[in-house]
Amino acid sequence: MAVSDRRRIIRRKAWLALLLTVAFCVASILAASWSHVRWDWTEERLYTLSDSTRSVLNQLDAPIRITAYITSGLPQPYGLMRRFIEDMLQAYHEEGGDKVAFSVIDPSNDPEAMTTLTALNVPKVRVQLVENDQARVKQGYLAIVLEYLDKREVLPVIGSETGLEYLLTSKIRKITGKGRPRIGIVDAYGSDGYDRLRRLRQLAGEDYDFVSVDPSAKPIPSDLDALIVAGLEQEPGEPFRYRLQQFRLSGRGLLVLAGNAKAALADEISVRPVQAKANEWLKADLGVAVEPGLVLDRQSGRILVNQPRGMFMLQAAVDYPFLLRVTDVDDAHPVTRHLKGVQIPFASPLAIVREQGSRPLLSSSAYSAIQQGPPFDVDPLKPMRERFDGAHLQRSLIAVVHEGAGRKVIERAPKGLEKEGMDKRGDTVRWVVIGTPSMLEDELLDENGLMFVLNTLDWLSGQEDMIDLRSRGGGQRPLPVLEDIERNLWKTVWMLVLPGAVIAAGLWRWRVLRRRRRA
Amino acid sequence: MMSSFWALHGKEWRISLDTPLGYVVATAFLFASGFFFGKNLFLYGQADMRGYFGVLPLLLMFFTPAVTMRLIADERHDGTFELLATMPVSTLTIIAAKFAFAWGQVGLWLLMTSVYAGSLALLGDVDGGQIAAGYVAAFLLAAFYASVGLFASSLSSRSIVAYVIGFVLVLAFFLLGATAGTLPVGWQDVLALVSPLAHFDRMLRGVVGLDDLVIPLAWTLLFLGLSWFQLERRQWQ
Repeated sequence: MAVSDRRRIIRRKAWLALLLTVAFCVASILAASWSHVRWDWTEERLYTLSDSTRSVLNQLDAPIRITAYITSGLPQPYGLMRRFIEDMLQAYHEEGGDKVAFSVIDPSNDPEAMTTLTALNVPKVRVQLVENDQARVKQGYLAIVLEYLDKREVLPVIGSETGLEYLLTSKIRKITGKGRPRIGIVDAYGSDGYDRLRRLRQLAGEDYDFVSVDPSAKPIPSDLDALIVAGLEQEPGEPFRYRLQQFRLSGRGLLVLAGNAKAALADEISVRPVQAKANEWLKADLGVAVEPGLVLDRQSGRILVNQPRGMFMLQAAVDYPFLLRVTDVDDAHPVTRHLKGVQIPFASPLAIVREQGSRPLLSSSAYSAIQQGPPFDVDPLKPMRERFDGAHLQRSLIAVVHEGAGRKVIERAPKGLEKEGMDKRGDTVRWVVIGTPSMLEDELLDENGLMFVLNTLDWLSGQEDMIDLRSRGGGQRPLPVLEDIERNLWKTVWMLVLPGAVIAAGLWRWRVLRRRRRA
Repeated sequence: MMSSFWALHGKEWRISLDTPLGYVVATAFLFASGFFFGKNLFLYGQADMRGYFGVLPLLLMFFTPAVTMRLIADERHDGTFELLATMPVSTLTIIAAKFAFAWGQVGLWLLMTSVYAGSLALLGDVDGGQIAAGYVAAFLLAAFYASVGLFASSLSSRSIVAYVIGFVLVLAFFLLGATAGTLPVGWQDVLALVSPLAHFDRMLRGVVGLDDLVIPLAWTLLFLGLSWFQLERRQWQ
């Protein structure tokens, strides 16, 4: 065979092999793009259906229909959301079997779907995209509608993958008739009442039915599942305490937020002391004492403050010791089992006076101390070192939980309340006391704190199955507080140890080679 | 075939261990890794490695072509490739052995960075599964970058030119991902589905999909195929 012929054959074979390789790669990429096989390696199986969802789906009495309305052509990351939603609905369908049917519809091609969405008042998502060097806004739908018997529930905008399972399952629970827990917010003796807790109502209003109650003046409605008492500023009267006792002993839950000072964040960060006697009833009725002072912790959260820098004011994030980053949580309790940490603002130390059924839920770190007062100096610009200089470091109890038998403190009903009663739901009494009156305030309620509060409300209302679901993925994995020197040491180790090992290995190899050459 | 594979593979490791270049590049990579790992870790105060994995594509973009640049370019420059071509070794074996070395070298660096994960576990409560998924993603990305670098090395007989070509190719993939938001929606969808970097990002959540594994490997195979073709061309040119 001539050399030119052989070259031609080799060339043909090479081109064929290359084309086959390219075709194989393209086919693999396309096939894999359509695959829905995936493995969830996260410790808490964050992207796999939880036991809570499985339990809800297995209890369905009638079929539920879930329709996702997703406009095609939305830019990323919304485009990927469609796939995530499809995968999740498929998982719901596989678990629920015939009881869960789902479909994904592009409303832009379906006038009937458009009419349905308009009738349901589902808002369009507005997304900015750049095309032909021009920015424009594209509108579309990212909604899920659930239909069960003659009822309908809507998730109007799916903003992110995180928490979608929780939203979907809580909607299924709601639509299938289990209803929302009804939570009373006490509005008496200077507490943060219904009107002041706007953010809580806004963020949790879908899952809970909040109502305002005033136990100092009226009986507590018996259809409530739990009650929030957020920071009394004056000493409560006996009717108030009696009605709370009746409520508690009937097997309904009670959440009390109490401390020595309330946040005052109007112009600057400061606190105002509450009356010394405002918290005394807790000691008598619940066996929890609010000890004097405010807890400050080196293991703290950060806040933004305006700092003077020459002629300018610059905004900077500073560690704020009165915003406790509590990581010492009760790992065994349903409320805190999935929480790695909670931020608690302006906390006062608590003490358990009667131990039957009560136990610590949250404690500050070993790097915390107590500032005596009032008055309290909570200036965020004061250096941390100065605050802790000579301070006696000790852990403080920040929240207490009680589950067990109730104790009757007020034996006889106050005058005029003799006929008031409350139907009993159970013999187990559940309450939680958190040593801060300010946690639910609009300015201080963050995502992490909200999760802790909602877990608490679910536990108090006997809806524990939702706690596991809500807590998935939301929990933080905080690092412990380290001194500057420790932090710098770790950074140095990470930066120098591995390169040092490589250099050492290189020098050793060089010496071996040199010895060989000489030999 | 296997014996020639191991012989070539071993030769590359010997060159790497007996010359300063391998140590210099490894030292620089590990120094930069350590710096970026510790830089914001305490600022965010979370025991996870997503910050580090976030900058890893950039680090590998600089350092992987430094490993691959000499693999074929130097052989051609020194004239040893002709010698290799006369031996009973197929082009496929040459490519496979050199790629395995490059991936192994970068893989070894990545393995060394598991010290960070270990120390983080001493400090806090880490999600081991999420970190493992991050490492799988990193190994796959390293394979992709190594194949691109090898292809670049097959295009030139000068190492430095091979480095620049490899870097520019990898940078092009990186920039495509980084500027995806400014592309038409249809292109964004395509990129999200086929870009190895998009799959790298997705795996960092701790979820490993079949597509996340197959797509970077398919791209790797594609560039290895191109490298093989580039060497085969010499037979008829």
